[in-house]
Amino acid sequence: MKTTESLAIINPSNISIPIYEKLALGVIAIAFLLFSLAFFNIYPFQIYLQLLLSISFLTIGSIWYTFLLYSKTPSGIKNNGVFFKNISNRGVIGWMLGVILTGFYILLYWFPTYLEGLIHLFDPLSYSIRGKAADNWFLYGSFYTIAVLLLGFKFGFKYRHNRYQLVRTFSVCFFQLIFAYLIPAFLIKMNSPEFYFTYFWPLKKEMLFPNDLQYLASTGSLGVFMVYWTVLLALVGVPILTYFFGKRWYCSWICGCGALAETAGDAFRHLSDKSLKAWKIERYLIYSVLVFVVILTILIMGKFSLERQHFRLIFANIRQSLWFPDWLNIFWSYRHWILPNPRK
Amino acid sequence: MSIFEFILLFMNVVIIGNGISGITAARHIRKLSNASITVISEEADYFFSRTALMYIYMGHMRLQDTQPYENWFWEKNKISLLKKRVESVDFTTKKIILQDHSNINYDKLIIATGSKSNNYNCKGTELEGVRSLYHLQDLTYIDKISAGLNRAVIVGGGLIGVELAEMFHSRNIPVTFLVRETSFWGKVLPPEEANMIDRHLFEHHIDLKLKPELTEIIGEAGKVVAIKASTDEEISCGFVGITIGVSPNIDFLKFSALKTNKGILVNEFLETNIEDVYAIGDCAELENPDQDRKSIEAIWYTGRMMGEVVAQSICGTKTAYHPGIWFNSAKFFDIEYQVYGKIDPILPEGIETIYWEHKEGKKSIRINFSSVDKAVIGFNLMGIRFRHNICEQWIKERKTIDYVVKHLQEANFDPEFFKRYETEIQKLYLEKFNQ
Repeated sequence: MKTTESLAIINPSNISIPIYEKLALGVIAIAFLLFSLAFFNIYPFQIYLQLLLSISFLTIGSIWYTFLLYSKTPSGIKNNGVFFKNISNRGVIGWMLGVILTGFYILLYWFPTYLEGLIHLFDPLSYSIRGKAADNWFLYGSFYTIAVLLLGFKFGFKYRHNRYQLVRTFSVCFFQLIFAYLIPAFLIKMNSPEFYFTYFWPLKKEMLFPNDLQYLASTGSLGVFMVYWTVLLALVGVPILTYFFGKRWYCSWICGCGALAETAGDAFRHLSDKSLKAWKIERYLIYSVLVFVVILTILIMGKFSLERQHFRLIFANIRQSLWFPDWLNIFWSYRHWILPNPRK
Repeated sequence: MSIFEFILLFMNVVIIGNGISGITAARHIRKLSNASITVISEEADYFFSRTALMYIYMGHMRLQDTQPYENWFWEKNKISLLKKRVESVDFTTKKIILQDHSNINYDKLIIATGSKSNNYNCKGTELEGVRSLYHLQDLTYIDKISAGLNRAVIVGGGLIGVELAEMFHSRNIPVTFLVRETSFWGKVLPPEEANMIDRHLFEHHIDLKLKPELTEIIGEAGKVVAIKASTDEEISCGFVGITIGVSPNIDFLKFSALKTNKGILVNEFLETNIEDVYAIGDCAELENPDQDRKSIEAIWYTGRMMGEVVAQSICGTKTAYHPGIWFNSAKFFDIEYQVYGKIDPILPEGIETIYWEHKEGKKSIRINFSSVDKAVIGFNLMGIRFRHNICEQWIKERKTIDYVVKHLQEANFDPEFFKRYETEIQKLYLEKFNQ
């Protein structure tokens, strides 16, 4: 098949960067330098100070840069030159960034010991919100949340003419920070099971596995609440919400994965493959995964119910807690804060 | 299989032009028949969205991103594409003569050659750096000339002019925009909306000059270096964009038996005076257009509708072209524009208008209605989206302005969480017309 040649003859992107943008980018670069020092286990400052400096530089630099980038022009769609810029059109910088990010994931999943320096950097934060030392997943969660918040701010400022995008961006940032980062951390601090209220079956298949539910129910009334939450949301809430709003209520309002894609990924969204072939591959993949998860869950539940002994145990646990669970007691005391007051 | 369907199997349809009109016709003929279909175009290998050309220059898209169908689509649907220039058509022997002197026969011919840019009449238009924007080749030319360009002057305040202004602006090239009228697109937009766009152009630092006309293009060594305006002002520039409208692209049919005026004359079935020859899209001129419609409407939607209609007729269901109520949409930098029905730049006798503008001056709603029976006849919207089907239905059913103002929220098509202004408009309506 013939292909059409590119029309790009000259590079029209503006090469000279204004001085304040240079300064703001410099501040971000210093933050990355501080992170890489930690990566090599070099700590010129005390840990908490180095962490504070790294995160502050990153935050100040990116907020400043966002303002400089978008406040000069009237609000509106800003896509000029996305296919001309090296980083956003698979150029040298884009390619190297891709390798570095993929490499980071490989280290994170299979060789976390190489990240010890960086993990160590997040100890002060981890102790204060989780009550224990940082590990590779806390490092990942922290980086992830920082990226969503800072680039979420950039996205919001870029699309400030559009109230839908503003509300939605606030929502993804909120759910990432509170439900995917802080609440699980506090749960660990309180010795409760690490639980993500925004993960649902079949996205996270273990959430309807009887052993996992049984474990949750055995941890006390909060655990029982989590069991209810998991089962009701997965089997009732998700289908109803999806019927009325489509998959967007989750993917672009709540999900952490969608949060990163809609904030950090915004600068690259034009590179997604829109061919029919890509769409077909996606369809085949998601439906085979769904079928696999459904069958697996049914099989595991079947096996579990055959072992009646266990089955009775989980219900005993739930019944015991249901008798007068703490959370219900608390809810009842404060019901007028939530439910309408019948006396009025 | 009926005899007619059997004949359809062997029918040889040739379409000249692979724009929205020609391609829509080809697709619909394929849906309805097994005819052999050939689309001839010199401009591009594959159908692309002409209205998205500007976004290639601005770096939002690549050419392949503006192609609505992937490259395999044509072979799969047995639509042959021929990248050649048509020299002339021999209607007596039903033969198309190509520039390389080869011939192609046809049983049915659809001419969908679109428009060409109008030329400006003044000294210096032959210089390098003077160009319009219509074809893909124009875009390549403008892209080449943009390197190191000190200033671009655009002549003519219409949709393509403002597109060019936005294009150069995206590459930080200063733009002077010469508009002959008292405001941008004053021949189409009512003064309030036109002023809004003027303000918006100034906000984007476009050097908009209203009223002066181009009188001379000054060149050095065959290249543009400056222009002279009717105010005797000289503006130095390396590019002059001529965007004073388009006209049907039918030069290759001159001196043939085909009846033409400005465009190729067609009846309501889009048939020309020669049997088995049809014309659709920008190049067609309707002999008897419907009420409130023009004989030539060079816009995307009408081209698409004509393509669908001609496919029906060719495949056995003779169908008349009745486009219904006028509608169009565009975007001027950041301000979206929609029109439904009849909106005249100067309010005609017997028509009243209600116009609401947001305090920041970037959104507006205009509803025109007949002062006799209060029936709504048109909507003009800036920065706010209305539902096409609702507006069309209200105009068709001649709903009164009272009804429309009361039910305005049904027409709103802005995304969720957007601020709504129905109550402001209702208040304004009550104040102005004191009901």
